[in-house]
Amino acid sequence: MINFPPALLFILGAFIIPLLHGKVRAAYMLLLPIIGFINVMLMPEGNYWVMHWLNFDLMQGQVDRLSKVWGYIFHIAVFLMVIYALHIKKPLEFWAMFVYAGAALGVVFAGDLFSLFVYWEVMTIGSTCLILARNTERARRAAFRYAMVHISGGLILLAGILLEVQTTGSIKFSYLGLNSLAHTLIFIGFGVNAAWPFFHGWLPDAYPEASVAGTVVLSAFTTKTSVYVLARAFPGTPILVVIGAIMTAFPIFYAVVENDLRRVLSYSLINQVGFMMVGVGIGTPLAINGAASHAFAHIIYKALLFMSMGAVLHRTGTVKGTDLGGLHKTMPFTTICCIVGAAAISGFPLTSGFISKSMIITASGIQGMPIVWLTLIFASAGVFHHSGIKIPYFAFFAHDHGYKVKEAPINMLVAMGISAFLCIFLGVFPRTLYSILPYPDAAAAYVPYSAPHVLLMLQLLFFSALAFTLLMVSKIYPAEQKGINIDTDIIWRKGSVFFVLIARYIISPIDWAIGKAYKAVGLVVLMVTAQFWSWFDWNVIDGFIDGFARSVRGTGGRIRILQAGQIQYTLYVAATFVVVMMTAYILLQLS
Amino acid sequence: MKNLKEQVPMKDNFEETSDDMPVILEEKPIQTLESSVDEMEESLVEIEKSFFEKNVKGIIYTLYLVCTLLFLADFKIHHHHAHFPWEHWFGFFSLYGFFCCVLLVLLAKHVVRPVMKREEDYYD
Repeated sequence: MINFPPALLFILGAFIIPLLHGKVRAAYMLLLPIIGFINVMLMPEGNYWVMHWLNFDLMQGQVDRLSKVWGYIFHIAVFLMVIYALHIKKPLEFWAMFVYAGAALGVVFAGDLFSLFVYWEVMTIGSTCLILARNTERARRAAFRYAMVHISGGLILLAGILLEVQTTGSIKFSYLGLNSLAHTLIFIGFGVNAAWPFFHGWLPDAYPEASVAGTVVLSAFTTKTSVYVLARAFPGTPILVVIGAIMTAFPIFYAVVENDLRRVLSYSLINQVGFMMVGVGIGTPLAINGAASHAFAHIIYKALLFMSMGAVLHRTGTVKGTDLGGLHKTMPFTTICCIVGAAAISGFPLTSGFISKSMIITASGIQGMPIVWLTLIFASAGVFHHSGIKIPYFAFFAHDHGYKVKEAPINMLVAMGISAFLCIFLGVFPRTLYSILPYPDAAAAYVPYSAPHVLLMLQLLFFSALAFTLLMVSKIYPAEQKGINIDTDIIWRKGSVFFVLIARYIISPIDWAIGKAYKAVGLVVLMVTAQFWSWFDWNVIDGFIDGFARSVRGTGGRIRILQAGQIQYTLYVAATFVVVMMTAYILLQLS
Repeated sequence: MKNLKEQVPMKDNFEETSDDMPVILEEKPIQTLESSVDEMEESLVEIEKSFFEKNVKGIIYTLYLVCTLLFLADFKIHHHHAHFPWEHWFGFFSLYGFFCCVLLVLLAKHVVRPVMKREEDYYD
């Protein structure tokens, strides 16, 4: 077999990047995803690359149509992102990008829970480095919080895996279903990375703090890997439909009032992952196809949107809605690419968003879920409202703030151009994407472009635009304001302050009081004992022979050591006792 | 770029009055020679209005027209494969999209922002 595990290509390949320079490095980094992509194309379906470790089989190649969708898109994403980041001279970001993407590929093709967990944690390391690459104090703090959340999520996942091994003895990663405590813990572990409501705080907290290229890379892998593992292990879990529907709806409210445009995109990312969660939760072939194709399309247009905002940040030094405007005059190509990405995320006909999102909405309709269906339609209008209109409008049009900047660097323009082309290409030729989906029959039977379907989407979107325009003209639309909006990340950002307060005003006094009491009691006991022995010696012993008195005084001294409250003596005696007992027990068992 | 706040009213003023540069220079709070020259150059660039800025009205009227046509298209095209009864109602998707967005903006403006908004240095 000429194939090799895709994860190893990227992770091992990443360590050569710092050794190369200039054009050689650029060529090498562009070649890696191309080789990887061909590798995925040639990988036969099946389960292989099994290593035997202790009593377990570690499998690096669980290859089927589901994992291949993610395999393809991750390679395409890395290729685009390398082009986008080519102007960067330092190798750190590239190294982190390849380790991170490689680990994501490792999760996608892992056939056992141990390998999955290891790659899961490597992803955390790679992505944290991408946030650190911004090299500001804010980014360092955000990276620390990001790492803490993901390590916590990883521990929940690990607990689930260990419990699973303990109870079933199997580490195979396939359909699990929500039917035991172990599976529930694994489910929640996946959910932390999928940015479920309440856990989601890490995403809009950390992503906008990463470097220009870092945010683009981050947007692709962590959440979409979670969609994959949930689609493999928990398809058709009803609670996922509820979680997904909530995820599509609540972030758009934040997005309307958020000032940092990359944070607006982070909220719309949660919204889009919500659509995929609904698809996975419904679990019919059409819905799983919808989730997979939406993940595929989403990675490209979301990367494109983050690229365009990154280009703005790169040139102007800010992505705040209050500071920007009028950039279409100086950055026309970036503007066009951003509008294409905005149209795709909104699901305009002839873009990739239309042919993928409509599958999930149709699946919810076929299953007869009116509330979910209405929520998804509402979320479609909402995402158009903030990602489709607000992002391009406030960055490139709106009030001109007089930035006289150059167009984005040529490599950024190429990356955005290819991404924009793919958004439209997939929208015009949906069968290219449909042919690789997990359930080929359901995909072949699905017709995205029917007259009523196109009409309903156009009506929805144009009347959303009308609402935006009328609210703008009548000045009801809330103006961008400086400031931040609190979210669930307040729990771990302000939580530490509460912890310090509790430590200072509750735990510390109790500790002090116990110490004080112990000292007092210990001293009293010591003094009373000493006085007693003194009295005894003086009044009783002196009446007897001197030698007997001396021996009693010696005993008193030894007891005084134990009574003195010196804890190390007590512990030493106790530990010695335990060791002796254990040794005796083990010897008895062996004999 | 740090003096953006001070530039903005100047440019508006400049566009409204005339192309006469010295008048503008007198009105400006001159800090240094270099910065004033930079601002002068930027002001000159800002005179040019782009296609979009010239045609805002036209774009908005086009949008009204497209919306009207789409709304009326419900006469011609019917949702044969509808899953729910309301999909057959005349103008359902148009009105749903419109009122969803209005509701979204009003809730975000009057509920989410007052409750959630904090100063930028809230966490620092």
